[in-house]
Amino acid sequence: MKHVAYISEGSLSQGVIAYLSEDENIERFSIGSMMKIEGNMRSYLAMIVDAGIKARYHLSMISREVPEEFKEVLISKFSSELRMPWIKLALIAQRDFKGGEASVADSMPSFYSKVYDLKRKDVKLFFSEEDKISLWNLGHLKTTSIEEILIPINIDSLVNLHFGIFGKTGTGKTFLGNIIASMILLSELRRTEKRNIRLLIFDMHSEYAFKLRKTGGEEIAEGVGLLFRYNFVKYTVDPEEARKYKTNLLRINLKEVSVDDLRLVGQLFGLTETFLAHLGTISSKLRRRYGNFWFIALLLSNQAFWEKLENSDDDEKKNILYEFLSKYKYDDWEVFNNNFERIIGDNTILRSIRANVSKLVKIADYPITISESDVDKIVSDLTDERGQSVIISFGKFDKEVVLYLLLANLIAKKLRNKIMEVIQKFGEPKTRIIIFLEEAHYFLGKETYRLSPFGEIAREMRKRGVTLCIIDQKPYELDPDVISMLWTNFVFNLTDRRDIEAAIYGAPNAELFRSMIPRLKSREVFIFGEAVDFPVVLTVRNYREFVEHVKELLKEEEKRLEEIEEAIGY
Amino acid sequence: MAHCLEGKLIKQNAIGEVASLKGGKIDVFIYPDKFKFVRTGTLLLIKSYGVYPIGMVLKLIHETRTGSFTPLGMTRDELKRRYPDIEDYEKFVATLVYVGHFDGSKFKQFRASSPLIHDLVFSLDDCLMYFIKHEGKWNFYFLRYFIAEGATPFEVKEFFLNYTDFWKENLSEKREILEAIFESLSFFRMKDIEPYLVEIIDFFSKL
Repeated sequence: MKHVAYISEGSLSQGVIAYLSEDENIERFSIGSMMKIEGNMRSYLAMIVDAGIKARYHLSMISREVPEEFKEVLISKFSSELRMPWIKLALIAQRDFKGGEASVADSMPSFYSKVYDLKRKDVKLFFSEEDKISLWNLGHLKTTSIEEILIPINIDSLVNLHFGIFGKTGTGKTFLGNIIASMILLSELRRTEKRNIRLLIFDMHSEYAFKLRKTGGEEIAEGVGLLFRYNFVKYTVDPEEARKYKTNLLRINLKEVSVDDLRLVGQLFGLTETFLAHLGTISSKLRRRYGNFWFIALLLSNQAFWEKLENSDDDEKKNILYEFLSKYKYDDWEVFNNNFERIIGDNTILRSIRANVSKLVKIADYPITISESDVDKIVSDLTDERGQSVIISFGKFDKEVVLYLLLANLIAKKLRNKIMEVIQKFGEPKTRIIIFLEEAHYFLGKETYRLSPFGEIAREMRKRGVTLCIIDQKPYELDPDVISMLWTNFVFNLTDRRDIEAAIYGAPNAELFRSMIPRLKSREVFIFGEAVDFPVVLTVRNYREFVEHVKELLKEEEKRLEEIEEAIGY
Repeated sequence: MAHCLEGKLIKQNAIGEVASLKGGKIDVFIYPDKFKFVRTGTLLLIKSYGVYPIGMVLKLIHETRTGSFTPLGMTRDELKRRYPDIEDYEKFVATLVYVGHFDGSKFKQFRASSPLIHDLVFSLDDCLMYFIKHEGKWNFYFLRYFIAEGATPFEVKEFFLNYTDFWKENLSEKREILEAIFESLSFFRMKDIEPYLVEIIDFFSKL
């Protein structure tokens, strides 16, 4: 096999420079592609992280008025002098010629080592092969050769430790999320010793529960919720979606909203610092009179909120008002309001309430209730051996971050409490839960990480079987503690320097990969961490083809189970 | 013997003789009546013992033998009439750069053994084609020696100018000639190559 370049200079930490052979075309060497280096004692796996042309000297006359016939001859004859195309390679892995396991590169190939296009047989020396239990092919390795080489990820390693999916809108995060979720479920299905895996997916854009769409809106294929319809209980906060797909409508129980929940969403609602500071006092005062109806009382202190409930088409919402009135014997808003003001009893706080509660009126548009909500059932499904995975879809509320935050926090709080309850009774959780959390920076951001129940889950629950899949387009906004807790990172295209740095934090020689991230194409993802043998750039599998593949596997599995049942005379 | 040299290397045809030699440079005493035929960039052949070194004129020197000079205020004709033997008191020297040799059957663009003092020097004009085109392929590697010994872009251009008729005769092969020139110069990996290219392109674009 002919070499394409040779190692000239560089270092393990800064990357090595290889000059291309005379007949090679620099345009063939895309950033992120894997190459093979043959040293004197070892083979190396290396990734192109930069490319360029160095000129020994510059012929300025070429850009001037030189007749074309001369220019052409000049360029052809001085090509090796005018241009010395080079590629910069990050050393990823090494393997001794004598044999043994491939390991992380900790040595430098000798001077003038030859660089080759990577072939399938080379890849086998460095990467595991799909076994359709733990190891699942995620995508094609980016190489300079025409061979398509599939590389697997290790689902077992992935689900045991928190992991992150980062990238700008439209780069393929949701496709990858669906693929990973499917692989987790397939892996569970095909293994004899079950681990009672449960997925909890917060599906902001209804692309896990139902169908994935292109950016323009065109449907592409079924999401994991449809592919594995028997594994999931689906909820939606959108009444229309609930009707259309005959899905459970999930409502926020206003009696369960705490002061901490409000503090978390305070900034998004535009609540003032003063109001948030007074909230503890307000809550205490109202609790004395209204018990767990305190938040409802606070909301009703705004007449517009009262009227929205009164005029709502939704009986559940009307019921909130009627139950409150009947329980506390009020006839109208005036009477309630006089009583409310008397309870608060402080004009400064009252002014703050008036100014801020008006900003909370939009809560009346959300699916709300005071009856027992399905949140308890969700938690029970996730923690019970006989339970199911859960997807919560947001339908038309896909832009309502506040609703998403309130709901996710309520679930996370209850889930955490349930698990802690088990642990405090010296038990062990019976299930392993993986939470797919989109727009994670709202929960795990620098200001929210300490307040949000997801922060506690991230810090304390991993060893108790709860893993977070953090999905975000702004990783920089995540708390640095969260970033450092991730064991596998999937990084799609990002352009903001700070986001890139956060997303590749923890990658070996991370600075070498910085310039590569903004150049990743759609579906191309840089992966490093526990779930891959070595850092790689993969082109994620075509989603439609993947869906067909999953369907075939599910059919096979169904047939296999039927055969087993037949054999045991079931 | 190449037919272009057949019967020509006799002392009557000599234009000068080797006066001194240092490194890659050869000083040739040019016979006064031949001096006007020798120009910068001219290729000359030296008939030495068993080998025929080829040199390219880098510098021309014309000075008094004694080293002293007295202004006479006369025209060249007046001077010749008044002092018919004046040239015996003058020195006509051409500094050649040793750029190749003729081995008795073939022309080579690399150096062989050095010539000796008083070896006779001849014009290579009739053999130019054989020196720079071997087996149908143009070759200008000899220019490397010329440039390495200090030839400026103008001196290189003078080589081409001296043989303008020759290039015109071979104009149909202009592209091949240029490719060969550029290839030779690129192989040399000079730092300041551009001025040379400018002069060469200027010459060929006006041809």
